[in-house]
Amino acid sequence: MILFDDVYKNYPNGTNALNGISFKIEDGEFVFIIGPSGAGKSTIIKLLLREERHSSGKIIVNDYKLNKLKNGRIPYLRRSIGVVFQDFRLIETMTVEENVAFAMRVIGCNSKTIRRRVPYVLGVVGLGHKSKNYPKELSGGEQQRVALARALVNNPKTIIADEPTGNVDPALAREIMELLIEINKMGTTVMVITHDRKLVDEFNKRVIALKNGQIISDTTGGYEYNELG
Amino acid sequence: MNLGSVGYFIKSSFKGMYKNALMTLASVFVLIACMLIIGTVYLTSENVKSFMGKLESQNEIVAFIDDKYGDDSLSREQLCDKVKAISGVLSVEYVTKEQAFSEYRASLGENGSYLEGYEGEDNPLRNELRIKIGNIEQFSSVSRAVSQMEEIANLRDSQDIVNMLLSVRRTMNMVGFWVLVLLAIVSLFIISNTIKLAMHSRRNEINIMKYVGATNGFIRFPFVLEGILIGILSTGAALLFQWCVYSYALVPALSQLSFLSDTIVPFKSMLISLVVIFGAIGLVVGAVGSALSIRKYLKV
Repeated sequence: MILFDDVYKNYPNGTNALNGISFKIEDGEFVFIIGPSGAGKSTIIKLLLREERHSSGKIIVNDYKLNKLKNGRIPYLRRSIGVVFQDFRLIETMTVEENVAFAMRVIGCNSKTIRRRVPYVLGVVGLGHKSKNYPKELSGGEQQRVALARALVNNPKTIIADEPTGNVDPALAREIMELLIEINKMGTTVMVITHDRKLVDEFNKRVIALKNGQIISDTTGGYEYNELG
Repeated sequence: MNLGSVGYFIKSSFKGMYKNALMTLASVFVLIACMLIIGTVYLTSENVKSFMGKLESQNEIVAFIDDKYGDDSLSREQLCDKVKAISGVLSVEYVTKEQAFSEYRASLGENGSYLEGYEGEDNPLRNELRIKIGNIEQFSSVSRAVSQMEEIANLRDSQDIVNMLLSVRRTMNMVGFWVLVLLAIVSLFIISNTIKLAMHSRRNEINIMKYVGATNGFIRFPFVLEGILIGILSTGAALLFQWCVYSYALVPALSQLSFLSDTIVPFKSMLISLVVIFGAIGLVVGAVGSALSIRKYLKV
């Protein structure tokens, strides 16, 4: 469960990135967070991962109360969240399987578990046959799926996809979205951060729309484009 | 931490060293240079100590007894006891002027005949006390105390040499200490920078590690291990170089000084101390340098 209760985020330079937003995402939900640049989407990700601290309000992520979370517990919070970054953030010097295994290795998994789990996850994202390739040898969509496999491999409660369709063509974008929906069907909470309205329209899912650090609508299926301006 | 992680740490550390080969080599060379300077100061100081030891074992104050004091056995014993009571005196030997004369003649060898005619009543020498000092640091105070005794007419000591050696030893100890501190700081700075560069080139990797939930300790460990490996590598190489420097430069140079030639300390007997000094420098500088330089990259 993810809970934002009257959350503010003010930066020292005077920017108010979030202005009292509140929402609750139950376990197993699929949610789009949409909004134009500067609406506060990236700030939400930063707060969820505790990359930044919120100025006021209450945040709970997968049972971690971020108001009281000690620095030493941050790695464990992050293990409960898988993030697919817009720029993929793959390690160029590692093969596909090494990139995915790396995420398991750094949280202390043993080799046996890694050898069993990595091929399975690569199979889920349809990249079993490319496990020995390097990221540069893959298309944008394939790199996206490696990033998704890496996010999935530690079996997180929540997957956050930041602009997952930003760097791929529409056909691939749809493919990735369908993959996320499949993952969601397995019980994982999925948050998709996007500004792609067409993509959102294709799927009848909950949409939280942000503008100037405030929630302007939180609906399932159909929202007013005009509200976003 | 499981065995897989240990393997990962070791692999990751070696990979880091290989990827940043130039900076690794630079760190190793700087550390070797620092260790060699420190080592040379240490070895020289050990040789000075050895020479001082020799001097200590030989040093004695010869105190000449005023002729007006009797040399019967009771007077001799009382005088010896009086000197022995002075703090720092190891032993006292009473030498009559006849003994001293015959020793002097023997020391002249073939030229001993020059002393003919000075025996017996004409012996110009005095009865003397040969006083040995336990610790060279007390040489001066014993010498002063003996010279102030009314029975003593005058004395002969090697005070100037002792003072010079004491000053050399103290200076060497002080210089050695500050050279060590200074070089350790310089090494620490260079090693931290080397590792900082290595981390900068791997910041993407560190960033991903942070996002997938690696603990700071897990991220830090391979880098600290890398620093330790650089330290170990430098220690081994520095010991080898130090042996060469000592055997082929320092020993031949010291041997030129005849008074030092029989007190030169063999390298073998200082090896353990050198391993400890170099090892400590290598490990501490390597580990602390890495730990310090990674802090910036862990703030994600």
